[in-house]
Amino acid sequence: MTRPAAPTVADRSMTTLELQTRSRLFDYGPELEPEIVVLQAAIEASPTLSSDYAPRWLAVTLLEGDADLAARIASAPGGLVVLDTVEQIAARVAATCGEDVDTLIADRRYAFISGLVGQAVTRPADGGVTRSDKLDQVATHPWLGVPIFLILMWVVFQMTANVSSYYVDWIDGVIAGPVSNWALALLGTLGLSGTWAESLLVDGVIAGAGGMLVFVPVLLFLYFFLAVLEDSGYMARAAFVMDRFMQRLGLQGKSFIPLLVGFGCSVPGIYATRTLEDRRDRILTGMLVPFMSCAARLPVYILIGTAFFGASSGNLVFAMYLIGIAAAVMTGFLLRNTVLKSNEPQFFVMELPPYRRPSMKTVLRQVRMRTGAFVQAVWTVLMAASIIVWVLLNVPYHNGQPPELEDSLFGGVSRTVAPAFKPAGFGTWESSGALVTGLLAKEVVVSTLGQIYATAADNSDDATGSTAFVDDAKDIVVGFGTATLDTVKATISLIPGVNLMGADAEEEDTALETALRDHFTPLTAVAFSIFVLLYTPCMAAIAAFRHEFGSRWMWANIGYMLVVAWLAATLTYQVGSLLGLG
Amino acid sequence: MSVTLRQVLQAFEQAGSSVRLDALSRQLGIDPGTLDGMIQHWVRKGRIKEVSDALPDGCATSCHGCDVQSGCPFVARMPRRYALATTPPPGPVPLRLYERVEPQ
Repeated sequence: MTRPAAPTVADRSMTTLELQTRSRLFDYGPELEPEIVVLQAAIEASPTLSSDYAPRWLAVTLLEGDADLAARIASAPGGLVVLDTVEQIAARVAATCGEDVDTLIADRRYAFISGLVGQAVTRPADGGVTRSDKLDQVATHPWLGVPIFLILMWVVFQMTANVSSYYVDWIDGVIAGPVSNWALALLGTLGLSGTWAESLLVDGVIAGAGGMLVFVPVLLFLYFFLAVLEDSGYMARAAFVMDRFMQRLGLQGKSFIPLLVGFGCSVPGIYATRTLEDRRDRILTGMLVPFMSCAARLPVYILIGTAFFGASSGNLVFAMYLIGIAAAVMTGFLLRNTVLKSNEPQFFVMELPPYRRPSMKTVLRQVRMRTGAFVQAVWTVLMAASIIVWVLLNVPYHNGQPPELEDSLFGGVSRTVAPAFKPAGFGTWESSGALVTGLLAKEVVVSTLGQIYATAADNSDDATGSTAFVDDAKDIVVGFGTATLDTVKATISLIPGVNLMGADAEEEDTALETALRDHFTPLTAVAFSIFVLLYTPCMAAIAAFRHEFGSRWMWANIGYMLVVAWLAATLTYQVGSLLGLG
Repeated sequence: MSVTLRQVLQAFEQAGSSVRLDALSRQLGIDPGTLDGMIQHWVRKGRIKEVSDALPDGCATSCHGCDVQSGCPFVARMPRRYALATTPPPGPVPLRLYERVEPQ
């Protein structure tokens, strides 16, 4: 149905008469028009209704099912007769056309609008394909979409690892040097030198929670790159691509929201499963969420990556994310075909926003919020965990002296657990203990390793206890300037063919990285990373899991993840050893 | 050529995978704005639902203890998306405009 468009100017009433004339021309088609006439007659039979309302408008609006209007009509004289007529007409039309009367009315209107748009809008010869559309044809391509997403993520991790490493070294130097020196000097002034208080501050708080601050630059850069992708509109495409990918694997497309959230933190990811209607789908997705590598696990990969793989550390980080996704996919297949047979996947129609230039203000706000959350965790959860670990490393006291680390309460418990990890190549009490404390929060794995190795090294090598505040402050500022310069050079050197860093450019090792190399081989370090990625999530996530799915599924999740993590780490170590990689 | 509401619903039902709104509008040969309005009709009728990004209830309360509360990826809005209702009404629904009082 096409109709001529009525010329109109918004601020003048010159076309009122013409529009009124044309509005009478609009008809709702052969199925509805006779019924509207019948209803109009019923309305006109009531003097009140016909004087208060335009009969045709009232007839059409009631047929559309306007409940508010119907309530008013019901109380008017003759209103119930009219409403009865409406319901009879609706039933008749539904029986004849197989469609609700309001849908038929809307259909006629959309047909009218389409005709009008067809007449009034001139489309460009290329069908209005914008640059955004052309980009989407590649970015959301059925086969290219996922590889493009993975390549982009790989670039993000590479850039993050390379660009942030100089600031990591700088912060590590500041914490191990001036900050430790100032703490020792302060305690010396208070007469607490050589006491348990000094050990608590230096080996507990500074080596544990303070050592986590070296990862702030990594998170700053990672969140910056991710925020740029998000604000440019690409992440919406990534969500679309991954949704389609999951459907191909037989998983509910809706699951991608909790899983995506799981990359930030498993706790909201588990709660986000509530968006799924079916309980089996909720449990299935809940079982997959902890396999998504949360932000808390990132410091472990960064530490091991920089200690063993240097400039290629981004590859390890990227590989860990992929292994997590692969473990989730396999788990999904396994559960979906056994205990959690779920409904057929559901499809979406998504509205993707056009690409745009990222707003620096928005990007920096996101970076500040997300990195701020990590810093907050350092001073709360990680600080508490560091103090607990320090206490466990220093009891029981004998003759007023702390025990050897291996004989401490912490060492004793860790030694009991350690044999289980021997087949995976990291069966030392230090690594086993770090995995146990990692149940509190995954970042605690790093802070515990920092504490164990700092205490074993009899305080930080860089902390001398003597301090010249002005010189230290000067060193900090100069160090920051050097790190910034090196970062700029490293960033420019990411351009293929450009190398401003020189052939012998080497990053400094942190004390923890050096200690790790003494206790792990590259193969055992990778196996350890895989175990950290896949094993039981932190206490908060376990509590969320129990809250959502009950104790039975919580224990199933804990047991399943432990088994998967152990098998994957052992397989990695054993196969790697057979191939001579150990 | 005009597209009927029924055709829009059928396009949803026949989609083999998720599709972009602009791609669907091109496939049906209608303006994206018009298609959005037609989808809204089916949303009102309960045949299609808009998938919400709102924080789940439990998350809103549990976030108090969450380390990454302020950095929660939920802050990032996901694209607006629609899905077929899992339990659609079976065909035309009888129109009931007022409550009838049954005779004693």
